[in-house]
Amino acid sequence: MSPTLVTCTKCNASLVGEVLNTPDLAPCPSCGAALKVDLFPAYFTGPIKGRVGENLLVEGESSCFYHPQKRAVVPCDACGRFLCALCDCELNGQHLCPVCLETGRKKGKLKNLQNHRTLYDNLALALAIFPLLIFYFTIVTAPMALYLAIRHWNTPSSIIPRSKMRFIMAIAVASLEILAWVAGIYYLVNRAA
Amino acid sequence: MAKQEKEYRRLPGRGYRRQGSWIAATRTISTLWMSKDHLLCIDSMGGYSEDYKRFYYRDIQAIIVRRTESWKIWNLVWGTASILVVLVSWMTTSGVTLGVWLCLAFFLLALLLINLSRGRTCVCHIRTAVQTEELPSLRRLRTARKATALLKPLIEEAQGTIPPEELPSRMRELVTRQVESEVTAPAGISRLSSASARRAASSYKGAVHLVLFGLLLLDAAHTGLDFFLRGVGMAALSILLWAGIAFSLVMSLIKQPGALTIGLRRVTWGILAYTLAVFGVGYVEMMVISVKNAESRQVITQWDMVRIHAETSPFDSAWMMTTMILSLICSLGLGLLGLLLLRQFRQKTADPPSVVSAGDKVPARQNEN
Repeated sequence: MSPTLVTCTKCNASLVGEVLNTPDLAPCPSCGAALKVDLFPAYFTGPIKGRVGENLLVEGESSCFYHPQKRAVVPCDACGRFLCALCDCELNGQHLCPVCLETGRKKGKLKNLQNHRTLYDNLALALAIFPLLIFYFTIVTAPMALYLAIRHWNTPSSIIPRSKMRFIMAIAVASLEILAWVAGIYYLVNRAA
Repeated sequence: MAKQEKEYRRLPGRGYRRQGSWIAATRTISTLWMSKDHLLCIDSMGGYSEDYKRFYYRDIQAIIVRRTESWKIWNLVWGTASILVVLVSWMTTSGVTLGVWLCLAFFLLALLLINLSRGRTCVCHIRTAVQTEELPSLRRLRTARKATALLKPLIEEAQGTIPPEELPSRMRELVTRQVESEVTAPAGISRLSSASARRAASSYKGAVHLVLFGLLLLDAAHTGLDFFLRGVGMAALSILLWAGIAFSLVMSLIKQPGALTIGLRRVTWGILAYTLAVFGVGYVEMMVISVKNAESRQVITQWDMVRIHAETSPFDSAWMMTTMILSLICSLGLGLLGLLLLRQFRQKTADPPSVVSAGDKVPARQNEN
């Protein structure tokens, strides 16, 4: 498969020569839009072809765990099963079988395969702080914030490493709100008595 | 103790990623982060969840930056608005009202200065073998230049560089390969350009646009008759026509992205500008009528204003004559142009697509209009 030509992002015209890898903006030959197109060698090579597992030729040769008729080329770095070229998934310099890859993705062990994360620290902090505007809501939200902060203390937060400061602040604010409620109720009960 | 090296380094710029159509309200904040082997695009939704997209340096084929005119438009908007507000505050005598107008003027001026200082706008796309993704965080030319300057060495480290003298020969080779692959495509299967393919995939053939252009032509006919047949009935018909035009215009704008040719889409945007101008002029005319008749207390309701407007002859008012002639020209011109382009578009989509032959030159423009 040959790679398709790079196109102008305004008029979709194919860009062939004069506007590519220029030091500054150059006009699109078709629509005149000022463009700067930086091309890299991958543009000329196109997508890398997938490998095909080789069939077993000699009796007694090591075979793939998932495809017994294919020759094993590498063991899985996680489970040790023999893999053919077809089953060998290379990620971060590790050779993994599809099952380990899927397990790692589900458990969140393979960071590079994660494409979504919920930020429980932000959620807990928001639950602790925003309802302070109408204090009555905190009777519900403060325990929720406290629960979220404790329950998800070890859940990975953003992929960009950050401290536990938000969790700590959420716990502190939520605890203070709960204390305030307890003190208020205690005071009202005492006054009534 | 040696300081631990950070896994990700933030690239300059942050921007909103619009999701859905242009009227969608939901927005996510997008930022870019550099790692040792990939570029990470983080879309943060309200700060409570994040979506990640990775572009490995070895896979990046191109970075395309296109300058846009949004910067000029926003400068014009904020500049005009601040001048208008300053003029209004100039005419105000009351102290409190003057303060409010001046605060508004300062706010608008601040917006103008912020926009001016942030520099020219652009759209940045990153291309790999299987996708072309917009990078919403790089919406200013200065930021895009800084970011690409930081990224280029990393990409070149992963892939190597293309010597400038080799680029023309490599491009020629690529074009030849593409022509060959198009020629060797299985019989009956033609390779359409991405825009044509999108258009072909869309089932929309311009029915709403047809209604819109038809209504514009009807309005032109109505305006022509209006010179001689003034009356409340004609005014009511005009209101109905413009309600229809406004409705079909909104529907057309919703339907048209990716479905029609650029020419048709531009005509529709032109009709939007024309409609806004008509509504603006109509509003000003009604205000003038209401002010003129304020003392005689003739104007009580909207209906009275319509009645007075309908009873005024264009031959007695130079302003009305001018606006009516302009309206006639615009409605007729836009309606006819739209119908003509729609006819061309329908003829093109009705014709079976042809296979590119070996002798054919590679089209310089895939998205022909």
